[in-house]
Amino acid sequence: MLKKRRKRNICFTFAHIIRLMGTQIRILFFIMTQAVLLCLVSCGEGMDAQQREIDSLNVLASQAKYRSLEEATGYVDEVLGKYADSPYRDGLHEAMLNRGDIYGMQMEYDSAQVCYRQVLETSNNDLLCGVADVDMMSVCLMLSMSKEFYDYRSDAQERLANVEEEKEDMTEHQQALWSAVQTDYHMVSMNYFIKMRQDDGVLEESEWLEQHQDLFATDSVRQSIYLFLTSIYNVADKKMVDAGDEMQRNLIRLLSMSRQNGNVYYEILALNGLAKSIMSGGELKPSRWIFIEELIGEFGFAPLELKLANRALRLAKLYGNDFVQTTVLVTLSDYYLKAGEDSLAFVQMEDALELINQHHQKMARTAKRAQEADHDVLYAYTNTNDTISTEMRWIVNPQVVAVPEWMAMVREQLSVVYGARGLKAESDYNHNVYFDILDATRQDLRVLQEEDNLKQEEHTLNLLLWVFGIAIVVLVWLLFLYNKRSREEYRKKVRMLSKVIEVCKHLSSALSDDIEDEEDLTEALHKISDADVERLFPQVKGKDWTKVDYQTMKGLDKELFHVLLVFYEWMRQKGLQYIHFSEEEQRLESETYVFEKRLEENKRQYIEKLTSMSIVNGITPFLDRALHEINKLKTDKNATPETIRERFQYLSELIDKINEYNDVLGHWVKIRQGMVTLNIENFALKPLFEMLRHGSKSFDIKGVSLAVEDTEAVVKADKSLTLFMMNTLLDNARKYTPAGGKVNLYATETETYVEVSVADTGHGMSAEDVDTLNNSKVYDSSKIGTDGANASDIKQNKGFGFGLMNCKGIIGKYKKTNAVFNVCEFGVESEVGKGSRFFFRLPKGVMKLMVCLGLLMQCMVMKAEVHLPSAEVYADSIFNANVNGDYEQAIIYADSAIQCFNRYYLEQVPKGKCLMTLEGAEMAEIEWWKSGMDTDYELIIGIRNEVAIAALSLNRNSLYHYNSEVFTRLYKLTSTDPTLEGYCNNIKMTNRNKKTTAILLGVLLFVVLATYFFLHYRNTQLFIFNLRQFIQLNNNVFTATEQTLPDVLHQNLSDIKTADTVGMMVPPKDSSDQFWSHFTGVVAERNVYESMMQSAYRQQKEVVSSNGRFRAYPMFVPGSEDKVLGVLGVHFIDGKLQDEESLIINLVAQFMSIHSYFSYHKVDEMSELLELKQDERMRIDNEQQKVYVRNQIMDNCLSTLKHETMYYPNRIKQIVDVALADPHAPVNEEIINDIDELLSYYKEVFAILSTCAGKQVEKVLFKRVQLSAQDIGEMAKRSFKKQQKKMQGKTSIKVADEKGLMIQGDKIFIQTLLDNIISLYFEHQSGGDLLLNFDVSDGFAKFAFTDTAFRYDEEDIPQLFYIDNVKYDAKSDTLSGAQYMICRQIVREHDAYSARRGCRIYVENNDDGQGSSFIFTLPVS
Amino acid sequence: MDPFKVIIVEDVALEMKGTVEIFRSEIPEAEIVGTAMNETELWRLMRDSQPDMVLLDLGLGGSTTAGVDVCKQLRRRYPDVHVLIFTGEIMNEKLWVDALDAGTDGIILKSGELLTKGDVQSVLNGKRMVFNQPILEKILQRFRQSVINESMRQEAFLDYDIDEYDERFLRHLALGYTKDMIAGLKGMPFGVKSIEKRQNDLTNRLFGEDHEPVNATRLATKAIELRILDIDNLEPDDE
Repeated sequence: MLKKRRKRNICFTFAHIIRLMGTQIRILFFIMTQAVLLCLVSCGEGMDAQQREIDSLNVLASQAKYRSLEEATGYVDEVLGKYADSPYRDGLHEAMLNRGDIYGMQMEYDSAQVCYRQVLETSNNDLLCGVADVDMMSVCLMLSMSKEFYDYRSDAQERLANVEEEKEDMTEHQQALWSAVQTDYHMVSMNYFIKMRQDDGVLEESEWLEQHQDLFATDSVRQSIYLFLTSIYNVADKKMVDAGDEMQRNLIRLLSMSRQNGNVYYEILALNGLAKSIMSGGELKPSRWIFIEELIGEFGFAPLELKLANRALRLAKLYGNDFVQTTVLVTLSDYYLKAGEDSLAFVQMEDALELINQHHQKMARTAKRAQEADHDVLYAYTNTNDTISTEMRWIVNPQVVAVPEWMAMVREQLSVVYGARGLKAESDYNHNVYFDILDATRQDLRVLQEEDNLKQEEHTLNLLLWVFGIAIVVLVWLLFLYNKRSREEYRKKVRMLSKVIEVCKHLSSALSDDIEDEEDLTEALHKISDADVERLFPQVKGKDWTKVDYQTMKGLDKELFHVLLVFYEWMRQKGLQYIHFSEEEQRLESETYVFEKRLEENKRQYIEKLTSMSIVNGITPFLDRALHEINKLKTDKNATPETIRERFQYLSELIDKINEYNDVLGHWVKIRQGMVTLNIENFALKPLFEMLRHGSKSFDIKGVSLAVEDTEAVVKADKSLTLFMMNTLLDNARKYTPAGGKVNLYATETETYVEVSVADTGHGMSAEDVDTLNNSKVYDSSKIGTDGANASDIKQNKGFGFGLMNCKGIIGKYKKTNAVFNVCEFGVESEVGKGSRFFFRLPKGVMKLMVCLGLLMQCMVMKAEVHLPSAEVYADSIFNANVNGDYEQAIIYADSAIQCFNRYYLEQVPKGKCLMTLEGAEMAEIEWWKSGMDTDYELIIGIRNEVAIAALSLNRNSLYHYNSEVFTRLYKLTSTDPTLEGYCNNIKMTNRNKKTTAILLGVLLFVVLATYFFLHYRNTQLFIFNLRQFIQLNNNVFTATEQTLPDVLHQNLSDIKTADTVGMMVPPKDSSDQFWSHFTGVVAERNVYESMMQSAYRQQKEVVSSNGRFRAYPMFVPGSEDKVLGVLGVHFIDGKLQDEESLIINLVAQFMSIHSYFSYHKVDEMSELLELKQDERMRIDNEQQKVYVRNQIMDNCLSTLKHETMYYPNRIKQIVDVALADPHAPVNEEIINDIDELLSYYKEVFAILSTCAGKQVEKVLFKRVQLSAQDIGEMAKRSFKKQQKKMQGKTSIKVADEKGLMIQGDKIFIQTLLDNIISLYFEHQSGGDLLLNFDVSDGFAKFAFTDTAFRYDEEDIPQLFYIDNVKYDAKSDTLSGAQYMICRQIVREHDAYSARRGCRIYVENNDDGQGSSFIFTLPVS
Repeated sequence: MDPFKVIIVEDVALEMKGTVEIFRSEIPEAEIVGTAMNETELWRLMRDSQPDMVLLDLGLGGSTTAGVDVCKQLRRRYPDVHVLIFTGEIMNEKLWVDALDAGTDGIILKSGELLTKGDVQSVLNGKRMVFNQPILEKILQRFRQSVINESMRQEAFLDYDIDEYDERFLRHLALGYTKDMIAGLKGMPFGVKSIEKRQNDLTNRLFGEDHEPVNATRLATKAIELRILDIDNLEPDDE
């Protein structure tokens, strides 16, 4: 019992599923039925007539089958014969059912079943199938096949339930059929239950029929049946008060109705029933008696029951239903038995038996079992020993269609008849047979069938359980396999990915400083990656992997390889950028080097100028002493002639000395003049003007406005000096213009020169001053402008006043250089109260290059207006070139066309960065299309196509792929149909429906397998999809700026995993700064995120919030594990990350670090470096220019000094000599006054010029650095080697070991010092070696250069470092001994700018009598 | 004037001649015990004779400033000998200071009157800081300038109504003190808030009512510019 219930539960569950699916199937069938109906309707009007014809014939047939089987057969034959090809299959099926009914009436049940089954198998009309099922039910009823009856009954039930749902759409005929079949179903069922005596069932069916009488109200046949059944039932129902009477009434009604309608069959049944009723003692009311007699039209004295039975027998014989005939025979036999006519009764039964035999033989013959039929004959009695009767054999034999009820009825009657005749054995025989038959068709069939069903179910269930079991085992096994495989796959993917990232990291490390050009770069990238890539992707072995098309790969390889390719290209681009950077860096460095060298040279010259200044300074004391002597001569009235003479003598000696020094100075200036040359070049004034305009702040502060007028003038001059002059003039103007005034800087051009003017609205100058300025070479600037009303104001502002003099000097120098500079002029225009204008003229310069550039730019501007039409022209040219086979030319044209498009693009989007290229990675036009830019895409498509064709012909693969890819993409983009998606969705929906249906059809295992495969596929696809996103991200990120980066990231990350916000955090560059961060969108919990990101930065590992939504990923400097660049923060909407999502996002973070590092940090670093280098270059340039200008000015001063003061000492000398020549010394006051005047004036001029020159020295040029003795030794060695080459000597230098000795000094000066010492050594040509020894004493480092062979004349030694030692050699036009002076000057500089005084420089002969030493001391650091 | 012994150190022969002549004709009391043209000669003379005074030129031998070092050594080794610098370095003020630091009794520039009897007399009388006219002029010029600056400072105090606390506040501000630190100074009766108010008040006084935002640095700089603060004596309060 328990077992059964469990089974039932399982069964229920299963049935539930089936039912759920069933609904789907029904829907499907419904759709199909609709379609069939639609088809039927659409078959046109012509069909209707035929259909109606068939329908009416069918109706006729079904009506006739109870009246006359021949007539009914006629109708059926007409349908099946005449309309056999009709598309109205339902009609044919209906006819087939009618034929089956006819066979059934003729008791040819096997043929009937064939007909019904045919309908069941071929028709998909539920209604007709239902009819067939009901028909089968009645056959089964007849054949006592209860199990089959129930099977067909449940089928019919289901079919009818289906039909019930769709009855709205039925035709009239179908509705009639529907009503009929419902009635039939219940009637057959009722009949069955009556026969099986199942009162509950009968009652149920009877009630149903009673409630649904309207269904067959107009159908006489069914009315008749209803009556008949009710009459039978009522007899059975003991509760009825007058059952017999009621039955009789019903039978009479049946009789009259069937007579009216000609339903012979039911008439027979009615007659027979009435006869039996009367025989069974049912009293017949006299009115009925007469009514019946009138009905049957047989009057007479014979008993009514005999009349009724005989009439029934007659009709039955005519109608041809043996069963009914037999029934009537049995009734007759009964009658005769009652009447005591046993033999007649027996005769009736023999007839009945004969009917059965005849029927059996007929059946056997049709089944071609004739022989058997001959032997298989039923006998009323056979005395055989057979245990099994013929009937039972028939019943058991499935090949024989036996009607047990029929035989049972006959045998029962026979046993009665034999019994009546007293033939016991015969009676028993028949009785036994009768029981056997009953037993075979037992009544407890419901239970039987139930058990059978259960068995069937159990079998199915067992089967299902087996299938389930196997499926589960298979599934578990598959899942196990899948898990194992997917885990392996996953591990493999992760391994591959991390290897790819590894390669990327390697690639990023390829960018070293050694790379100089593109070739190096490519080589380095390949060298570092080739082996790894080949290991990862064996298919690229032996090829240049960067040229392999990733599209040719499959699955994961394809995507990963794509990642590599994209990264490689990006890295290459970065590399090129760095190469560019380092080229720029090198350029800057080399420029800086040039400036450094210039600075060095300028400083060397500077030290020479300083030396010559020291000569000037050396003159001053002599002048002062001379003045002192004159003073004494003037004031000392008591002087003896002797004293006066001595004084004159001394004066004479002083003047001689001055002359001597002047001479040296003159030669010095002259000889060195060549060294200080002007740097003449053509240059535009504009940049200088711009620079000066920037300096307007100092004017603002004073309240003076500075106006710098634009100029396009180009001059030929020395740039630095020109700037110096303009600066000087502007400074002056600023100084002497009161607040509220204006200063104007402008340039005017003439044919030959450019005049630069600085005009102010200051106080102006008197004509005298202007004259002095314009015409005197030397003047006391402190007196200029001091005679006006604003004298005190001017005095307050007065500088040292050498500016104008210097400007004049520079102009003078130009003039001396070359005839080109004859136009040079310096001048002043001024009037008191009206301001002044200072100006200078420079020759006009030419900028050939500038002009060309200008023209070129104009051309470009003109072209830009017509680029799209010209692109079209190019496109035509490309096409023609391709047609003519000139593919190279086509590509050239294409390049031009692309340039046209780019220009158009730039016009539309100024500063746009998406530019079309002939070949590459980016597809600008795709971006254009996406951004909605308007351009001629058709044309681009055409051009790309043509280029692809040309590339194909030239076998240039990458060019082809790029262009065809662009072509395809753009073509698809431009031809996208917006309705396509809807269509696709429909298709998808349909497909999904189909798939659902397929699943619903019950292949559960398939579902499981499909799910399994789907899962697997999804995993792979998701991974690949994410990878694609990742690649997309890379592409996007590569074009993003630091500001837009988080947005780009957000967008792309969201495709992988939806995120609220993406943020980047960059650590402070120095401790005083703060963390910088940027988030996309509005961020509510920014502080929380930031603190998490900071902790990720400090901990150097991923930080995840407690709900898993916010994640902060540190971004490491590529190639290092402990340097964090910044932090990437993401807030996901869903905090649960799948493994592969987590992996991909981690990879994103890693890539972001590489990307940020190379895109921003490295670039920042390099830009910063470049900026520093640029600044350094500027600084050096400025410095060297300043020194240069200073040298120039000092040179000017000295040169002027030489020229202007040459006269005076000589003149004084003449006077003194004359005075001295007179032995009586008639020295009078006049002479003394003359000399005094000359000397005073001389002193004044000398003072002005020397102060002017001296001013230039005041600004410190000394650059104090720490130098080791060893450095100095190395410097000396280098200098030695350099000069040795010139001298071609065989001597050597030896530097003593000295470690740890550090001095402070100016490197360039020290180098100059060493150069001079070594040049002296080579000058001496002693043949001895040069030794350098170090010593330290009292805070000074002593450097002793010992010439091992040369010895100085002891007398010369004290004078070596004096001007007196400098001698001009006219022959070689050189100054001997100048080196000592320079050396002395350098040591003096060190003395002045180190913290302490006391540096020495001297020469001494060695005590051992061997050679001499040149010694200097420098302060120890 | 009593007779005295002098050593003349001069590296230029012609100048030596002139100097000797000056002594001979104008300071006959001087006995020139020797002349030296380089250090070696000087030290020999110093060893051999006991001069009262050394007239020292700064340029010696190759070096132009060796005299400073020599002076220092003379001071150390012969503290009783007067050292008078006689130099042609008429522009090099720094060198003068170095010479004074080295312990010279005076500096006479080879300009104008050159060496006078009076100057020599002063040195011999033990007077320090003996200078001749040109160098005195220079000193006076510098002195004048500093006095002018001082008076400008007073003017500024009056003009801008600067009191003792203002000055202290500004001075410490210029020295980089924070307001907290200033408030914590000894004898500073203000809290930080008052100090801030005072700063605003000061800013308004120094920059006028309509001024751009001014920070502490600019305020301190302005104070220096207006001579309210003496940049040469910028020292914190004694604590």
